[in-house]
Amino acid sequence: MFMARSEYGFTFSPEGRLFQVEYSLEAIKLGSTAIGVATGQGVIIGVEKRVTSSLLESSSVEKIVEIDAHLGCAMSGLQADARSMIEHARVEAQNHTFHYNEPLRVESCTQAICDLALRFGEGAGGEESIMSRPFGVALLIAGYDEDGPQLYHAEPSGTFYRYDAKAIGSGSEGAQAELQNEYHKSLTLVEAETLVLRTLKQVMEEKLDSKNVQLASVTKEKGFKIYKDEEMAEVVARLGN
Amino acid sequence: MAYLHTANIISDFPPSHHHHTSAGPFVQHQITPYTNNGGTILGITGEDFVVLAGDTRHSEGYSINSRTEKKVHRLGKESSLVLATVGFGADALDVVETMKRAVEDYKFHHNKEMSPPAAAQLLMTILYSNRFFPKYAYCILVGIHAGKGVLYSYDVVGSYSKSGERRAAAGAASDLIVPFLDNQVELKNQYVPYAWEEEIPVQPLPMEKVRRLVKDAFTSATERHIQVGDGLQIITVAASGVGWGVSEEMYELKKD
Amino acid sequence: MGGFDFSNYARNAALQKQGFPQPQATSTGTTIVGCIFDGGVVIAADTRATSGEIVAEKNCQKLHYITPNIWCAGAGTAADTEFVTALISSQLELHSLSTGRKPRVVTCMTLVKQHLFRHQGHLGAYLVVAGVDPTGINLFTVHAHGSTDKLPYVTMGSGSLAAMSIFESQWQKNLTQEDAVKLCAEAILAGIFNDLGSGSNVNVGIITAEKTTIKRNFIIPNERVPKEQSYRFPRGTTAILKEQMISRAELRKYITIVDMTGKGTVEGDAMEVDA
Repeated sequence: MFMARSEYGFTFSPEGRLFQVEYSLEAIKLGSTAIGVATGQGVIIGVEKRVTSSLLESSSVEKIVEIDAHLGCAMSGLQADARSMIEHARVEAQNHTFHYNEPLRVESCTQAICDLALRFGEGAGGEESIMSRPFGVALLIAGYDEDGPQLYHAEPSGTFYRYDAKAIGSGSEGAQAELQNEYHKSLTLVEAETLVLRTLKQVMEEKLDSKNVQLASVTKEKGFKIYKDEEMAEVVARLGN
Repeated sequence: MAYLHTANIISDFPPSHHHHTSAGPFVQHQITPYTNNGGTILGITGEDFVVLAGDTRHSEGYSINSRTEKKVHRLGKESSLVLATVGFGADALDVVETMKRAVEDYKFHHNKEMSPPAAAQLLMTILYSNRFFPKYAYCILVGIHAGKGVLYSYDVVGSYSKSGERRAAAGAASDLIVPFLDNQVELKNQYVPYAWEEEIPVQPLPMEKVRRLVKDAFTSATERHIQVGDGLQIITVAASGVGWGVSEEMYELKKD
Repeated sequence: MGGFDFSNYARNAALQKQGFPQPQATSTGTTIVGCIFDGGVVIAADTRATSGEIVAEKNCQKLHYITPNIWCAGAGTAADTEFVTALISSQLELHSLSTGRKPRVVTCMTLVKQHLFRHQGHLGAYLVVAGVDPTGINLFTVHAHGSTDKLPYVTMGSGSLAAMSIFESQWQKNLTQEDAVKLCAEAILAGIFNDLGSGSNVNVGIITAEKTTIKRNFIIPNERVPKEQSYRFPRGTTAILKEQMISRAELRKYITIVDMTGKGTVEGDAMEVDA
């Protein structure tokens, strides 16, 4: 701890850099690829599961989770770190409903997560530091509110941006280029499903099948839904070869 | 002989008169945390508007502290929300200030105005957070939601109806006004003439009629309740097209 | 014979312990004043009677007749002020009859204070006793426990401080009748507007050696504005839950009818009714 601080860990280096934060961003580049695409009908998020062993039960790899009925997120990086962020987001969402009898907005949820991400230092409201290092995970937050379907990307640095389409993780560079080419405003939800999977397929080392990827959607009508095995199989089949 | 002095906040509610009690060597000092400052508030909704009114007398015992203290407050410059509170003046104002701050805060956090249902729920949590030392403030909250006038009324620990109400009265003369509202707004005990079994159907009242009822309720309450009088503040929130507008009318009441 | 019956005291105490509220007496929250002038004495009162926070009566008379030349203004429990003044009035009348002399104000005051002292403050009567008798002009106050004062100007009731503020700032010696009336009315108005227990109108009584003048509603500063609309219901609005026809022939089975045409009927003030 003392070492870290004296070695410009949580304070600026003379060049104006926060090394620990930069390292945390590196950690994400090691993570599995996660992709999100927002359309007018809803948001699709997808992840590769990296089933590293034939003995691994693929359904136990949970990289897409629900935050609230209208909010979900995909992660890339240190999974364990994501747990506490998601727990925080879930509490914030519940708290909002408890206090205001209405769903938490997507941006507010993202902001709440980013507030927590900064707690390796003093909190925004002067709260004490609660972590010895920044989170090593990035999130794609998908949700629906009165402004329609939205996709946000939240980083360990505490910054967030809204995207039409975004890729994070090890394959993000190639994937983002693909999304840049393929995305257009009039994308349907079904087209988005295909786009996410096709892009994942391109950047994955393993051969994509219905077991090593996971999709989820957020729509006005159904809220957040993780695709079941049959639904996954259907979309993967649609992809062809 | 040593005496034990305990400064102690009494926990009974609603407030009542307390005497210094001295039993044996123990002397218990009590403070009375509440005062009844009188006054009455009243709200009635129409189809696309809502009227919220309160008298402007602030009293204590047989004395008048102020003849011009308003009880009805807008919760934000850009908000249709209006809150009226009555009971213990200090607590009532505190609840208003807390709500004003919360409405402002909400705007910064969520980039939108707080909706009346959200404010309604928030007010409940604020009141209930003081469950064991309640704010002695009876609240009526109104606003425009989805083009319609909405009204919520609360007891001091936050109980309210999520679906809202057509009308409500609280404070000193609520016992006098509520039956009048039952009859004139809910049309209770009124039947279609000579069709003995058929109740007159309840329908939203026009704005002018609502204002007349409010004035008559308050001039009548002034006649028969000593804590009601001096002035009447009537705030009307009206939906107009997609927006809304707030207007205030001040009306003289008897000063005896 | 006579006196009070305390047999229900224990029962009432037990009931109260169980949480049954005691009945609330109508109290004349009240501002009453009195002031002497060269040639007589003026008393005045507001006209509000309250029961707790509720106005029980908007135009009541708090100036009580004792004898033609002695009057009382009463504050406190309405029943007590009414009963005590009536009792003393009849005692003084008898006393006057048996002595063959005009009743004196001190006598009235003494009877009242002895009666109230005997009841140890349980009779909530606070009185301004005023009058002119062969000894001169007299003005007293009597408190519920029996204490009395003799002063040139007096105030009592919940509005006494408001009223006294007028006397203390404006009273002077050797007032004319007109100025005394004005001062008393002003004092009552201070009570009406600044004391919640007092309200409505000003009643004034002027007693001189020659005559007594009671001016009911001397000032009416609180007239109700007309209502915004009529609350007259169309005929037939009220539901009929049950109907029973009683023929005129069998009417006497249910009620007793006494013909009182022209005599013995009592007329009170017309009740205020809705337009």
